[in-house]
Amino acid sequence: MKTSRMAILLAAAALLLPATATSAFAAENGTVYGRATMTPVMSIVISADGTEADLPLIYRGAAGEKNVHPDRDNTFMVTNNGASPVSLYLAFGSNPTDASDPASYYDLGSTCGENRAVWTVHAGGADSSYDVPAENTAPVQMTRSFEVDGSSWFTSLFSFPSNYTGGTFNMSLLITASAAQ
Amino acid sequence: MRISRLVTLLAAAAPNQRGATREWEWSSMKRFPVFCVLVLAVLLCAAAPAFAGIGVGTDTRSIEISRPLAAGGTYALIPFSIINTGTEASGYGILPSPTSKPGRRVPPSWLSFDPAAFYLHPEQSARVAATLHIPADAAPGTYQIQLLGVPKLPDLAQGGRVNVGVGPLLSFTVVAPSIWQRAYFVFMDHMPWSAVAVFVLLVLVVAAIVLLVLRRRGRRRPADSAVQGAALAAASPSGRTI
Repeated sequence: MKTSRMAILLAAAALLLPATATSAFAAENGTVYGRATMTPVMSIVISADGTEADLPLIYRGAAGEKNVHPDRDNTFMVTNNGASPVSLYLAFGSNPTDASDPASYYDLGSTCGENRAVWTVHAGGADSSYDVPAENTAPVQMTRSFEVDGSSWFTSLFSFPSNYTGGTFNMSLLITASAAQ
Repeated sequence: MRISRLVTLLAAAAPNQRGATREWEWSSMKRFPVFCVLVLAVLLCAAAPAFAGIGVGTDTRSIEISRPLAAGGTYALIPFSIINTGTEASGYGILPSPTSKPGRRVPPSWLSFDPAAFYLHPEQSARVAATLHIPADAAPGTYQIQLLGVPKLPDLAQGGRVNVGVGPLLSFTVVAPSIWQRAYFVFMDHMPWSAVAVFVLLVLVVAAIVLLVLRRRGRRRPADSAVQGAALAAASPSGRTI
């Protein structure tokens, strides 16, 4: 009699286990992690050539040619239209990729060479230059504190790889903003 | 803002009919060129080409997870907002981007977003929920990454593009999982088959226990009746069994 009671208890406990585990999993799935630090809106807006679908920056050059200006007006303007000062960074967007063959591309970096191009952004007011960083590398800080309603003009130059053989390539750079330091 | 200032100045420069004295006329004549310049400035402002700007903003500075996260787990993160602060409607996406701050880099494959892509009109915003999947073999340490809201540019457009990105900084610490966490993550990774397997195992264990009990009870019954018979015989005065 005692053994049969023990067996029933064991069976009940065994059946209770999945039910308990299920509720534990449900609680775990409902957990939201992280504490958000809110801020007055951080925002930047960019305008002029290179930002619109029909106005890309076109650089025409030969293999190894350095600091080539784009075809049209080569400036673009970044404005802090948010409610808090920000730090501006230059970040990687995408490598120069052949428009007709995505497998064919060059790397961006800080030195020009074989399969490697340099895309430089020049900050007009500050008179300083920054190279678009290579893929998977940290962005480059351009402005430590970019005040609200502040605007900056930038120009850009492109240095072609030493083994460039022609063709139309697409690429992009990113101007990013984070909380001012 | 500038236009409203110009309008105020124009109103101040405009002739006032109530005080029509000679001095006033002389001063208004002196003001006339200023008035003309202001009118010209307003006209030039109206004629100037309006640059269409692409913009992005957020009200979330950072997302910090103070509790250490075990490798192998999947974690839902607190949502953050992305705002179209430009002058044009645009599609947007979230781009995990490395930061210049110290800490390990987060591979973008660890993150997924809901919605992954969305369309915003100017001044419209979207709440984005991020999910972090940390592989079981992730190295313990502190990780940081910027979750950038980025306007979507045409993929096949020729030439160079300049884009913007703004978003919160995500930071968290990864620790090696305990044996129980590891078991839990293995269980969750193989759902629903892991649940089915555990259920079948439990049913088998229960069935084995019940069978064992029934077999024991089956063996005990004949022995019990023999003992009872012997006891009855001993209790009878004639010494005979009935």
